[in-house]
Amino acid sequence: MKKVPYRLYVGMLLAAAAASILFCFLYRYNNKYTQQAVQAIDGLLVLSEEELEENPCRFLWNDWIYYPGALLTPDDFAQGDPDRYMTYVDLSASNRLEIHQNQGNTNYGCGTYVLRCKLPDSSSCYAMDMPEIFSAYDMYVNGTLVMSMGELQPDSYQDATGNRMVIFSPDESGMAIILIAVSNQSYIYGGMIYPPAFGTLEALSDVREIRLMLCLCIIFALLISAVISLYLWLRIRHINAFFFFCSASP
Amino acid sequence: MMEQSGGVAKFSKNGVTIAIAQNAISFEDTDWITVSIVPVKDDTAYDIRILVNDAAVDIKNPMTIWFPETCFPDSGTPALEIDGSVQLLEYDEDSCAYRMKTTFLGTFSLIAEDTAADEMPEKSYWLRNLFLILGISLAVIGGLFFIIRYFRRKDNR
Repeated sequence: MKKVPYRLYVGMLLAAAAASILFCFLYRYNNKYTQQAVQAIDGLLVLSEEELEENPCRFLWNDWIYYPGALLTPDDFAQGDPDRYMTYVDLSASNRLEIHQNQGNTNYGCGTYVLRCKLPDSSSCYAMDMPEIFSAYDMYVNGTLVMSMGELQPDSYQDATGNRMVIFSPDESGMAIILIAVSNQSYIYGGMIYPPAFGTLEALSDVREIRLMLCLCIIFALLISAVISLYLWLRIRHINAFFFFCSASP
Repeated sequence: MMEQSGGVAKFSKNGVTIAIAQNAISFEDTDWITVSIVPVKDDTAYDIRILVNDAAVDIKNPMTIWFPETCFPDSGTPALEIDGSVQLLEYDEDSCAYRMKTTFLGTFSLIAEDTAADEMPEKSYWLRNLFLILGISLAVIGGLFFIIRYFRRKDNR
């Protein structure tokens, strides 16, 4: 039996170490859930001017008010909170829309998320970068419909996903009540599973720009890899180059 | 919280929700209020307490406690055992959850009227995670297969 060259093991170890360092770095510096920023508690986010200056952008993942199985509108809150079951949820991929069904959770169904934000400056504009919400939703801020993706109602349901930025101002008292009614009848995930980014308009514009640049860099790198591997495959007929081309080209 | 939600403060933990009306407990704006909803006995009971400045309080007006359907066994009529007595719950069809108005604070045991509290159906975790286990097994077997094939090819060269 031939001896496996030690360089193979060293290479594997170095690759594992480099990946570990990269993942630790990302966990520490690119993590929505461990960011040291004030979060909502029991559906209420209270921000001061200093806090907003220190963290002009944050990801709202903690303690959204959630009404399962109901497509509510601001009218339902006109006389205070509706008298029905609600709970507080953290936004994550493990969330399910219908949390009340018999002995099991399901991604299909509907629900309504509510978050109340007490903001320091009632005259300023704030922004919310909405990630993909599965699979159709209506979003209201202070009772006004600001965004609609797809069609919610069961008889005319139509799914649609996409990233959008919503810009709004709080009312005179600095309150912004965000209400998102979600329905999913078609996808494996349901509801809000990615936390939306919230902050000042400038900060969120920067975040979107950086994300766009990173996406472009990745697409460009993949395109270059695909072209090189296609060239190698055509030139030297190496089957590995073909496989690499197949994996890089999508 | 009460101001924003129409005079009702809602607390929720482990799926159990309490709605406390503004006049249900006496407190000042500067008081420290602690609401605890702690599952006991493998989630077949919940210990619910409200403290104002670390002291137990009396509930003047009934508060509403909500339990989602998933808290109860499939068979039997859902009920609560409170302080030794069994109390039936009101079912809210819109929310698919059970509710009860009460001024009692303490341990609420979830029972089905026809069955004992400790006969909660066992969740089939193995069945639920079958795809995960199969996926991991396939990945491990596939990985081993390719590693063995790689070293065999090296040997043959």
